[in-house]
Amino acid sequence: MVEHVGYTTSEQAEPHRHADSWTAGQRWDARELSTLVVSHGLGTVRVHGDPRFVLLRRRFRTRMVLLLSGVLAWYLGYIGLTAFARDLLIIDVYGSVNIAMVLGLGQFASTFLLAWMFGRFASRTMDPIAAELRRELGSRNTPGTPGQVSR
Amino acid sequence: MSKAIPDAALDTTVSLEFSSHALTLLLCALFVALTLGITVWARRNTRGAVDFYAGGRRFGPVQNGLALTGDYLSAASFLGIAGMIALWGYDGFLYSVGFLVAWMLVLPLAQLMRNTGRFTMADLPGYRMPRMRVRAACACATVTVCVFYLLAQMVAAGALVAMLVGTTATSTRIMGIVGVGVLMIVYVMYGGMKGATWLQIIKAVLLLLGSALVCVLVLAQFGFDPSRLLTSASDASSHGTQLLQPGLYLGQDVPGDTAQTLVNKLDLFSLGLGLVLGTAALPHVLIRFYTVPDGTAARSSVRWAIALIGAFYLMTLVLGFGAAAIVGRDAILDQDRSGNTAVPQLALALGESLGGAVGGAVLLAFISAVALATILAVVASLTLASSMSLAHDVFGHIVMWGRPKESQEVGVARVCAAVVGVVAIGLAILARDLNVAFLVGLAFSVAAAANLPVILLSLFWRRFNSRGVLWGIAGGLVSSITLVLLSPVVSGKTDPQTGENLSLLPAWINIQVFPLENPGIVAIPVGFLCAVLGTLTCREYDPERYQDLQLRSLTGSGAARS
Repeated sequence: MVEHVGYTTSEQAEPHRHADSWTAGQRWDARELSTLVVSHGLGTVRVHGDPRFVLLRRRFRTRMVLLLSGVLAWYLGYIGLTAFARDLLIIDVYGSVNIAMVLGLGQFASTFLLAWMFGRFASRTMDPIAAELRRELGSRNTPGTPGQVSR
Repeated sequence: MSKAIPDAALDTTVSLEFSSHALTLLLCALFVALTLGITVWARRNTRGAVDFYAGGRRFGPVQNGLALTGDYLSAASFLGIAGMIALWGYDGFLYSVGFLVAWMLVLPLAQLMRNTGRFTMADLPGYRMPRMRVRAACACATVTVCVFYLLAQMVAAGALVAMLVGTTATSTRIMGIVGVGVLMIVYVMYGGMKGATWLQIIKAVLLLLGSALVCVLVLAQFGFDPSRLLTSASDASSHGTQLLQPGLYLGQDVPGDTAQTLVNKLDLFSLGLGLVLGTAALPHVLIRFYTVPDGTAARSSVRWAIALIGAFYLMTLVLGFGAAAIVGRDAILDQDRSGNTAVPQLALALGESLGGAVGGAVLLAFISAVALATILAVVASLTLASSMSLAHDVFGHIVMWGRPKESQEVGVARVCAAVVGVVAIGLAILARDLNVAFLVGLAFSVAAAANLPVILLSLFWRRFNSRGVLWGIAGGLVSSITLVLLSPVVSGKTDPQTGENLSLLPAWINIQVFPLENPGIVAIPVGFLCAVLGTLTCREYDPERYQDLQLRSLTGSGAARS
């Protein structure tokens, strides 16, 4: 059974709020897009074949897979070292600071660095495409259309 | 609290502690008055579901980053981890690392979840599979995680209030639990998400400032040389340099028993997996993504949270080793076997060295008030998360078939907050003498094993369907709880030297089958496997809805607005 949430008035307002300043989208031929855009049952518009969306999805997926596999491998490797390589980790590097401490602080450093890098990557290479697609989708998807229900 | 103090010193100590306790109560009263004022303001400015559930979606990334920090850093982080570092050294630090690294998983998902959902975790699978049973399963997992976590926090709150007031009397602990519970109900019922968010922001600022102050004071004693701090900590500890090395508490080597050594090390992996994979699926963290205007703001707020939480966990290192060096292991163990009093004791010692008895009382009172604020804020957001799920998912989408009146649903959320709060108070009073710290680990494990498969597969697997959701949640939930019931936490664990019973149940009951204390390493794969099997055994498949979800999650088109 399909849900229809009854109270969405305030949520539907301002679909263009985030149509911001990125203008490179003008490179794309609007007519080309309109052939790809197909409206379907729920009023949401499909742009699945749109090369920009394919690019956006690919960028997000590769970065996410790289980020998560890297982080998990580095973290589980670190746990593995603390469990099985204790003779190595107890070597002092500077004063009382041993390799175990350096690796632990290294987890902090890599987390800070990767969070900053991912955020920068996303805002530079993904947000502009997303904003452009959202703008175009929004203009075909006027507020108040029956069926365009925020869930 | 003062049983370790020799009689000769009793007079001065009692008066000192009395003044400190009075000051603690005064500071706590100030905090409560301020937050109740905010609650009244929030009540006046809460008009509908978006205000009550999502604070109007108008919080900025910095505000929400602070609020996420406040949500995430419980008293277990502030007092518990610092205490563990003080007693067990490096192994306590492993918790800090796990709790922080977990946020790397949240970072890419935050934006997608914000773009897809509206208020609760169930909105995400519910968008692809608008079915009642999907809502019911998600609500079940959400409420379970919240209640486990809440129970652990409430029992700790009772003990903490008693410690802060300076007795261990049962009546004080019950009063502490009831007091914290009633405040939590008031915050959530009247303030909703707006009130809760400001509560978290104030608490996060207090917690970060308080920890930073103590950290600077500790480092000043050691000439701002971390290496000197570590040397003093290991010199003062009976463990010596082992304090700075892994293996004292987690993944211990048992000489002559290879099997037990391996079990201990697997347990360490299991703990690490549970910590890292559980955070991304904690319901009270998820609902915070909906309080910002859009997906980009959700991502920025997670970046802020990572910076603040990372800074805090770095400080736990200084707090813990500082307590080991300045207070000393024996003095900490005398007060509390689990080390929860290490930071208050450290504050007292530092304050005394700065400003005599008055300085000690002031700093102790401040840190104690921060600890209480920490507990209050976390229990409030847990109550909010579970009442939201009950009202939005169970009432709105199941009882009312997805067509509730907005005012009705918010009213139900308020009632649910009261009900959840009263149930939590009752359970916490019943469990007040039990060591329920394992419930935090169980909550993380259920989140990782039941919620995470549903979130990840909903977002990234085209074939995923509603039977997958049901089986995944059931598999993760049942396997986590069963494995903990059969683990050494519940029965069959004794101290190898003294023969003392270390489990929850009395020594004559032994149902221990599963050797690990942390179920993650088994339960998380079981959760994912059940979700995949459930999906493949059912023909339901809607690629169009999945394409909608992809488009919406990545571009934010049609996402819920403020």
